Amino acid sequence: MRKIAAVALLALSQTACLSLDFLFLDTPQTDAYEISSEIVPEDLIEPVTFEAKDGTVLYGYWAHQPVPSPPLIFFHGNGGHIGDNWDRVEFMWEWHTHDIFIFDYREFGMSEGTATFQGVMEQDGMAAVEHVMSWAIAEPEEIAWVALSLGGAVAIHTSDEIGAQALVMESTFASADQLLDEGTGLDVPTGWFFKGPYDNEDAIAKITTPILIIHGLDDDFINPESGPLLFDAAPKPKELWQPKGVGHSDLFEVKPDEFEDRASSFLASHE
Amino acid sequence: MFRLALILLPLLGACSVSRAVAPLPKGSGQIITSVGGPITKNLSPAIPLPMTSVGYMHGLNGKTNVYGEFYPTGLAAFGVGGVGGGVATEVFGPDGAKPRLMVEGGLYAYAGNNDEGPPPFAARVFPHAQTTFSWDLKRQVLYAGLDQLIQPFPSFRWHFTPLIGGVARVGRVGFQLEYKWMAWYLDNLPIAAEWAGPFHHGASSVQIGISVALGPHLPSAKGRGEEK
Repeated sequence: MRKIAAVALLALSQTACLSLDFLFLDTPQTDAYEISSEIVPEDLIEPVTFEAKDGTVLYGYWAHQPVPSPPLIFFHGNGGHIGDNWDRVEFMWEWHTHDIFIFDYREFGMSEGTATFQGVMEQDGMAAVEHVMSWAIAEPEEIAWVALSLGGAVAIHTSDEIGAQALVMESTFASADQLLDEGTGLDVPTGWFFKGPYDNEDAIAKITTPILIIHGLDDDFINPESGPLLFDAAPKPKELWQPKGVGHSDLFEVKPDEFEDRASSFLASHE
Repeated sequence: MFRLALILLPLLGACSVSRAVAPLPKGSGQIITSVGGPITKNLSPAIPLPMTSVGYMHGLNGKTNVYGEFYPTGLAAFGVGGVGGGVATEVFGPDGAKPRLMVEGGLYAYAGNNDEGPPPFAARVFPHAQTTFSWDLKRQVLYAGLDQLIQPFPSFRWHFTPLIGGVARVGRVGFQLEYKWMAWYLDNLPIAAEWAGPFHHGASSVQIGISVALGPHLPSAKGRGEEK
């Protein structure tokens, strides 16, 4: 991502009207996912494709439990695809409580299309929910959501449209406005640099889903203050957990047991 | 996340070399350009980003310069147009080891919008002030100063940047080299770009300026001008 940013900036004088959206939608692509079957047996792994409202084909993977289990959608973060996030799927699969579904937003991994704010935030999450409802024959309120970083933004914007059993959201930024303010020390318009609003603080106020907001206090990528900002803006029921010694995306490695306990109990309490 | 938008700082307040170095001869003018910015370590070798400015500076009375300039980079990159202008005046001249003191006041104004939705237009103004001490060495000038950038609205902000530089003149052409330590009080852990900054703070910025003197007088080290 850093090289992309630097190259883009070096090309400034040659280019017209860039935006910094690519910082939020850094889309690693692949021709084939490398999916390990060391933890989730191969016969319980199921690749699928489904379509967003505009016809864009998205890729997803199921990690089924050996016995029928309720579905859980994992909204992964930026700069990675299904293969890159499979270790998190394995981590949650080992809770043995849910069938885990992970999917790639448009232009991520093998998913088609071009990543835009409108496409990723307003269509892809909804498409995943509709796929899971169809596959699991489940109502929205029977589907658990877990989201990481950018995935939290997708989940929040999807939750504007459709509810869920509960959302466990980790390390999500409050807004592009906040990032610009902290980064420049200036109060500049978000629209100068971003095409999309990327305002999770505004969007989270509209959700109807119970939410557990997690933000590690040692996150040096997204300001941990984002957690309280989102928490304050979210309607009840809500919880906030800010563990010490946890960075942007290492909670499941640093505090796996506590993460499992808190997430599982939160989801269970909203069944 | 201080780091994400350090890349934006050069698009705003620190996009040209200093204009408050020495007074121009009365009635003379200079076309002024500069290129450069914070040094990124993302590329090998580490190089300054090519932020550009183009403008004109005019000597009013042998002590005071006025200038106006335009910043193409923000417009080309983000559709955010930027212009700047200001006045720089000599408070006292050099005398032996005693340096010249110049003070400058000016304004940057930026407007534009990248968002596909409303509002279609957004503008900000940034007053700035610079204090510069300079020493004359024949036809060269060395200087050190402090630039202060203010955002008066929608919320008040105040930033300051120490800088050093030099100007060498060859005939009508002046070559200027300047180093700034931008945002030195901010941690510069890498996010979008990795900046070179002392003690992992802020961003070291290197800029090169080229000026071309117009009119009958050439700038001299003592600032009074000399007949061509």
